[in-house]
Amino acid sequence: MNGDVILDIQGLHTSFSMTRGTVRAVNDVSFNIKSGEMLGVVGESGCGKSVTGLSIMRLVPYPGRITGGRILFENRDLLGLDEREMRTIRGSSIAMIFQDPMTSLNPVLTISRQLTEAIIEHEGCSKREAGVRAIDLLRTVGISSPERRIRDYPHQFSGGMRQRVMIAMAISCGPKIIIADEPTTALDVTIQAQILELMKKICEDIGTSIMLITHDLGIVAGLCRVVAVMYAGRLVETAEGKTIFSGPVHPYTHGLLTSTPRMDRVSERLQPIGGVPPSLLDPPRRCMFAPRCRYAIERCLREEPVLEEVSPGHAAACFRSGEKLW
Amino acid sequence: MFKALFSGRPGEAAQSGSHTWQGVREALGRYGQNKAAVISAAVLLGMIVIAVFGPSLAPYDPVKIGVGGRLERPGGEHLFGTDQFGRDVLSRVIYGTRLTLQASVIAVVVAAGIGVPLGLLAGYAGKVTDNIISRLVDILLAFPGILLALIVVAILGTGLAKVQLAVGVSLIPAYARLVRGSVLSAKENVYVEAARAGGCGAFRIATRHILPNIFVPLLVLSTTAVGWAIIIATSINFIGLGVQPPTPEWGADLGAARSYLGVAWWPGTFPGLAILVTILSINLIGDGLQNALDPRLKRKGEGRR
Repeated sequence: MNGDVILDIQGLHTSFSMTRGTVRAVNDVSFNIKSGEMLGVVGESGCGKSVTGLSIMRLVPYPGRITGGRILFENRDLLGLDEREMRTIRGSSIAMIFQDPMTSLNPVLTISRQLTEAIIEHEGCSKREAGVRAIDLLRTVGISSPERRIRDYPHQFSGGMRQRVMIAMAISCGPKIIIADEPTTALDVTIQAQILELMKKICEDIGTSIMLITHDLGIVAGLCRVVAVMYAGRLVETAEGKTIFSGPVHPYTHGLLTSTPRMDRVSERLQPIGGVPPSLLDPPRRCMFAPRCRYAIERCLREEPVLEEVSPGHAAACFRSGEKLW
Repeated sequence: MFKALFSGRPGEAAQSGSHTWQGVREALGRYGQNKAAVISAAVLLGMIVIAVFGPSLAPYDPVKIGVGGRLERPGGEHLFGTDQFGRDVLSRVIYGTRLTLQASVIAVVVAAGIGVPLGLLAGYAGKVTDNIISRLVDILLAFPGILLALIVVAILGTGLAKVQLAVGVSLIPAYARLVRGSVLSAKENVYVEAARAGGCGAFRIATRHILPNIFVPLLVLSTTAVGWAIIIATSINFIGLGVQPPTPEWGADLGAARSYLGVAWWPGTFPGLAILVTILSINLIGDGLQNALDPRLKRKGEGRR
């Protein structure tokens, strides 16, 4: 079972139709996740990471629309399902964890209500059974005296605890995949480490695949086997975690790495990536990173590079990926 | 309440077992600090007691003509005096309490029963549905509440049940508007998206996740709405389109007594005072509830002063 492709995204396009034009938030993105694997999706704000996650759940907010591609989940195209079928998948086969644990729990419902709801809905068990399972789940995610805490309201939990509750909710129906959209961004660093450790444990113990969306390469480094780097709605580089760090090929990935402090290098001056991400409103057909890229050549402004393999398991969308640029 | 935020340790978790009641107690405590609201609650409670036990409290039969002389002054055997038919005004006011309170509560239940689902639907479904419902509500809101109620009475005819329905209809827009607005802001919350990601359907999200979150504004509106309902209901009765004589009802009595106001102030003044006191206390209770249930609002108010 381990190692099978469980989610295969092929040429996904998601756009938002605005009065001023079409925002191509996700543009021809393809990747897959194998079962029991942790995939990191990295990129700066507004590069389409979250929209990709929401597209998989088919929860792209209005006026967004998935305009092309296929999302094969266990060989079934999610884009062909109707809303009812999709609902049975959400929360049971594919779960989602959101960025801010302070707002992703309903403040007026007890933890018990929120935790058992999905269990009752998807597994069809009784309230009492669901309650017992909910307590087990809280214990699994490391909440002490869950029998008592389950009757509490979200405001009685700290941020880290709430994110644990969110994780408990996510794993409550034994999902095949968890889409974690910046699960640790709102938490402080020590709690971040605990939450990531917990997610890793879940991935290993239960065999759930995790799609970890983050802007923090450091998080991805130790955790994810495969990393996908996104820029301006496109995938620019995919590789194994180790490769991304030791030998990035795309200038954007390289830029991300040199702008992040690292423990394993002698301290050198951090180099920010100049400029801002381009507008995704009716984007031109060229390398989207070219205006900010110091290695850009004339061809980058005329043509659009496609994702090409540079070595087995390592692909990049750059015309100069074969050269040694740094 | 904020102590609980740090209750990661088992000792503190033990204390937070019955926090629902703790929250209610705190709200009650805040309510208790508002003297006007406490007095109003006591007055309304008294009104409710009178409404329930009216028949055994009233000294005379309210519809019996000639229990005293015509237009006897207040005092002595008839505390509030007698009206133009020699009926006991006090007994009529007591009997009228039940009718008025009952009519307004039923009207509010009707209004909430129709307005809340409409608002939920408009706010949650959005797009065309929202447009249709919102424009209908706009049209209804363009009529003054009393006129809307009159239209309903004109269609349905007079009578107590019809007045209740009419008043209810005239209050629907207020509910639909409030609920729609609250839903619009509540549905942007991440937990709604999280519920959708957990596989919840639209109906479940609207009723189980959003509705509980707008409970406080609904409760406050309902309190105030009872006040409006009394005004509208008594107004309809005042102009004689509601309950028919000899039924004792504050608005109807006030209307009947107005032609005698020059010679006798008491048959009209006492029902009028009853209306005033009831609505005033209901409004003060509404204010008190609002401040007690949403402490942030009160703090803001105090800052401005």
